[in-house]
Amino acid sequence: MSENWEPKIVTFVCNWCTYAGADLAGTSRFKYSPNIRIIKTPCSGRIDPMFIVAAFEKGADAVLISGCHPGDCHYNEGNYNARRKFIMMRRLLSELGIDNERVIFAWCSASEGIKFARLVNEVSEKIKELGPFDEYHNLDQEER
Amino acid sequence: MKELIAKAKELLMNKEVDLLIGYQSAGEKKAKPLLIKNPDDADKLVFNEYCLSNLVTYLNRPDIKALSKVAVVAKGCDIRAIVVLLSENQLVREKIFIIGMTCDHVMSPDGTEENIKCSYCKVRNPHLADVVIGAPIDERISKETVVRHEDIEEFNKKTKEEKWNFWKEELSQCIRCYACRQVCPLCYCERCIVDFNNPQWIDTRSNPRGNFAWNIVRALHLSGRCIDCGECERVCPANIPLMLLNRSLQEEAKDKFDWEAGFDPEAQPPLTTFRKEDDEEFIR
Repeated sequence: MSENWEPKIVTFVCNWCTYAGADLAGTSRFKYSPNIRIIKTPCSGRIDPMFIVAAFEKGADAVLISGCHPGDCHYNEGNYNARRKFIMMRRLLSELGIDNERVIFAWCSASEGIKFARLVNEVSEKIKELGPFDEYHNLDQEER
Repeated sequence: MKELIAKAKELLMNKEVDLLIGYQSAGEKKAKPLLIKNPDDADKLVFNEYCLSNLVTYLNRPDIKALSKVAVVAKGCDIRAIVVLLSENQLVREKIFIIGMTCDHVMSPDGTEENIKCSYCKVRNPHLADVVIGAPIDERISKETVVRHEDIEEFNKKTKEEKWNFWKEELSQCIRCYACRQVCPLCYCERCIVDFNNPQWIDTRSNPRGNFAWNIVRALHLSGRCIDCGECERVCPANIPLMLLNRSLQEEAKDKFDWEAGFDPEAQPPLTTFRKEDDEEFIR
């Protein structure tokens, strides 16, 4: 690990809650770690588990996923459906030996700017501890 | 067997079905699929413990779907696949004639011992059929039994590094022939995600990165749907233990959603629905 390595955390957020929450964090001048790369989706239900795989393939060290709290979904039940998908994805990742700490799920509302900032800082600290996700990134070099 | 041949002849002779899918002998201790339209060919039909293939796969083929009615010889485990296809609106019940076979067990693919899936089979007697052939067989376990797999328990004792290395080794042998997909009765997408190139989700070359992505998506798309027929693992030329992943997700579906695929065609598949009290301990 090079000394000035910084984790890349791909962050998928829903348009209605967490994106607005992140926006609030910004307009409120809450400082948070610059390691995240936010990608806005219409709803957490839009987040296909393949997004996680694609992020790791393209060099992410962790993936953070966040949407509206249960009951708050703009589309009523998108986040409930997403939750079931994530349950399955987590089990599959753990069977494959991929650290579940590298895929983080959260609910964060539009008013929780402070929660968003804190979440990002915590995740970022954790991933700095874990180090780069070389196992996955190196799969590329092992081409036969 | 006589009963099966007689029924097949009757169905084809009376033009009740256009096509009958069953098994024929493929040499000693082997059987292979048989697709017949002519009643005279029905004499070739066999059914024994070497009839491993899940013939339900054929029902997804567009040319077979176009026929007005098709009969299929199916064991209880195969019928579970029909149930999933019905619940996903992929089959029209009236267009298939299910010849359900009572079945105590089939053999392992090498023909030496009882197939592992049969030790916890709950459908020795077909649960959905138009006609049942064979004497009723005592079920060994009840429908309510929660099945736990020793191999998964054993596997989960490994550390994550051991698991990762295990799968890296196994998946590096994948030659991306997609036999697992082709044989699967539940992989019916006309265009598979792996065949899309805009955007390209999965590297189509047989390299470790693409192999991981492919096997992740394969297992996920079967989560809450896999009926444990074991065909993917049987046909895999690289002998990758694919069922280890499938069975883990079956256990997860049972634990988290109280779901077992392939029993009730009316039930809502688990990943198309939700419960407000679903597990969310992992969500921050």
